[in-house]
Amino acid sequence: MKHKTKNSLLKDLKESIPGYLLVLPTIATLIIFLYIPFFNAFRISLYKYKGYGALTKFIGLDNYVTVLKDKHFYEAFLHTFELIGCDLVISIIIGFLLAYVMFRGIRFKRFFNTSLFIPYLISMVVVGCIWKILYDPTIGPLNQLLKAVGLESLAQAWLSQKSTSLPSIIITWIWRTIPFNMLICYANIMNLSKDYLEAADIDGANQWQKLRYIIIPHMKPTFMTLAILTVTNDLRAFDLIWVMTKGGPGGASDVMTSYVYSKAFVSQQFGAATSASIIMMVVMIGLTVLLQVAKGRRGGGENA
Amino acid sequence: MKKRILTLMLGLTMTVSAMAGCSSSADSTEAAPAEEKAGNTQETAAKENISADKVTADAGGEKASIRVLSAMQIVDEEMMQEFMDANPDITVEFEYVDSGNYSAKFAALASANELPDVFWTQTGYYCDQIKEGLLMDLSDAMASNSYEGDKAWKDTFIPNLLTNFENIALSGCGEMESYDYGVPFTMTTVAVMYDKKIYDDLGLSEPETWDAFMDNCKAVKDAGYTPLTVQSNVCADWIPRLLWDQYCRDEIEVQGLSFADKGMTFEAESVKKGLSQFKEMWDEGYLAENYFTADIDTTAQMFLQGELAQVLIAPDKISYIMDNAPETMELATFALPGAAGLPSRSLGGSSNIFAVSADTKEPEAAVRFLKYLTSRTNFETAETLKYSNSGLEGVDKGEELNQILAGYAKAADGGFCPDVFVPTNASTEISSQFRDDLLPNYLLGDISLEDVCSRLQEMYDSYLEDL
Repeated sequence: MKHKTKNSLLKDLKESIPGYLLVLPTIATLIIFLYIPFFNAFRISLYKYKGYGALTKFIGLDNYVTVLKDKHFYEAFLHTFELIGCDLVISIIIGFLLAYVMFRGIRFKRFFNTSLFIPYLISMVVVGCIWKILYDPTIGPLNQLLKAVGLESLAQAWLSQKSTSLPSIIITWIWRTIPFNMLICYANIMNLSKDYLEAADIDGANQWQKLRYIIIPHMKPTFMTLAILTVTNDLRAFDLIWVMTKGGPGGASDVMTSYVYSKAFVSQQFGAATSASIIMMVVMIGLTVLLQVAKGRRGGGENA
Repeated sequence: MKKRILTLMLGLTMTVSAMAGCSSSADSTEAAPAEEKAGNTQETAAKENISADKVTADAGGEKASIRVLSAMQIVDEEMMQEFMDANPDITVEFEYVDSGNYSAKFAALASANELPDVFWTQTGYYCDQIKEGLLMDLSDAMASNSYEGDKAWKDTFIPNLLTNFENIALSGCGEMESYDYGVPFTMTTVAVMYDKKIYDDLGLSEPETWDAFMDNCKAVKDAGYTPLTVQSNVCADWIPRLLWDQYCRDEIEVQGLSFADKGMTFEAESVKKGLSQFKEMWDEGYLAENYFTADIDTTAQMFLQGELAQVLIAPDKISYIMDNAPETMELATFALPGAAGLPSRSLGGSSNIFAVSADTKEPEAAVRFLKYLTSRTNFETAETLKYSNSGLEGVDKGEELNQILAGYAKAADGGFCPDVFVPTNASTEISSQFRDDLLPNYLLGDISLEDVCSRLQEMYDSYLEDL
């Protein structure tokens, strides 16, 4: 019996060899481009390092302590989630409403469809440069407009004040992401079978009822997909923020990526920057696990 | 069976291709040290050993190729072409990176052992780069003939500029055998540029004292202009440094107190006075609202659109304003008066530096390029250097330009505040934290003066420990 098991194990192994050979390149790629850099990064996080020269000053976990004591680190975290939260709520809702308006049909539909999508075609860096000028307190059209219509008291240094710099960036960010959400929503509303709407018409349902009981339920999976895309996209937010404020003034608009970047490449504190990115990675993994667990429980409950 | 063989072959092919890709990169990394060794031997031997993409044969023999990285807009492709035309045996591969992104670019290049042969650097970076052994010692080259060949290269510079330059390395790295790890490029001075027409309309004149300067700021503010800003947010620390030059000069230069031996600290009253006076200027509304976020283009636009009355700017950054100023604008400059009534000194001096990488495979070509860059020939022919103070003996700009740039000449006459004075720019870490974090948070009322000073002292203590 034992002999038979050994033989079958050897046979299994033999049969698996082609499979292992097939995954070998992928594993090698992962090791070279992911795991080795990660362990190097972890090593750097234990040193005081300027980004060049040899790793000589070992300081243990001091970089982690420094980062965890830095209030800007927590602010950057908070700002990232503020950006995600606003983008999730505002951008998806507006995107959906615009898609719904298109779906209902308006005059010059094609024109609006194209023109509303234009912001998404512009590079993030260009968007940042344009909005930076728009927001400028002295030469910016926004303040000039406010002054022209008698709202001078509202004119301010949008990107240079702590209270307004992040909201100003979030508005720009949302302006840039709405077209994508609109397009996805529009494509999915168009997939909705006309039968449901005609049946609702026969039953005497009004527009609100059709929206509430037919269109929105139909769109729920799309909203979920957009939410996931929004979170993953916003976690990578960097270019717009860097162009507009470089995370300033005084860290008021720093997000996680700009915090790590400025620590590494502006202050040349590579050790601290690497430790910050590792902490962030741990938090992100934790969040993902939590989400998966929550999703699993919900799925289990529904199945039951 | 056939399927299994096919799978095996496919797997093997993919593995071999992946390994081939890796091995080629491994080959190149193994080749690098060999090249480095060659670079350290005699120059001729080095030329034989460098890779084919670095040296290409031309009709007259071997052609050296060097890479140049600059963060100064006044060094441009045209200048490279002029050099190549005059030196056909050298090819220059030029790259520009704006000063705001220089640190990132340099760190990436240095960590990849891909430093350019010749590169721009500045005080904070320069000392770090010397300490890390990234820069070539130029002592012998400095003693050799200049580009024009009429005297030693070292003797072409204005002596005060060279003294100022050597002091950077001395104060940042301590005593060394050589202080020639780079050369100063232009004599940087900072002065206030203003539109004379605004001054005339408001009945103002160039201020001789700090109080008069403050009165002017108030007058232009009351007239609806933004009174003052610096050329870009990267220079946000200029005004406090100029104020410290006034308030701390006695302690540092007369009493001989030093930050290095803690005879002087950031908690000193004079340091606090400089900072609190800067905050007063902010609170009075004398500084632009976008002081901490405006880049150089925004500042130039504010000035050209007649919204900004005065800008503290270096001469190598004025070309856009000078070339685009409307006819109604009459430009002039003045040296910023001393806040404590002491003779005014300028920031800068030799703050723009060009250096040669210690690992260059083409030392001779790199040095020849550097000699050209800092030559009279270059300053007399390059259009982009029209407004720059060369820092060289015997270069004249012409009467009209001298009149506009009088403020810079006066600022240079007053001498220079040592680059590392109140040492907020002793290292990149301290200078960036001070400029991007402490200063804006202090001015915007988020942290107290005491917090700024204690944080600076903490960072400086840590810097001293690392020395």
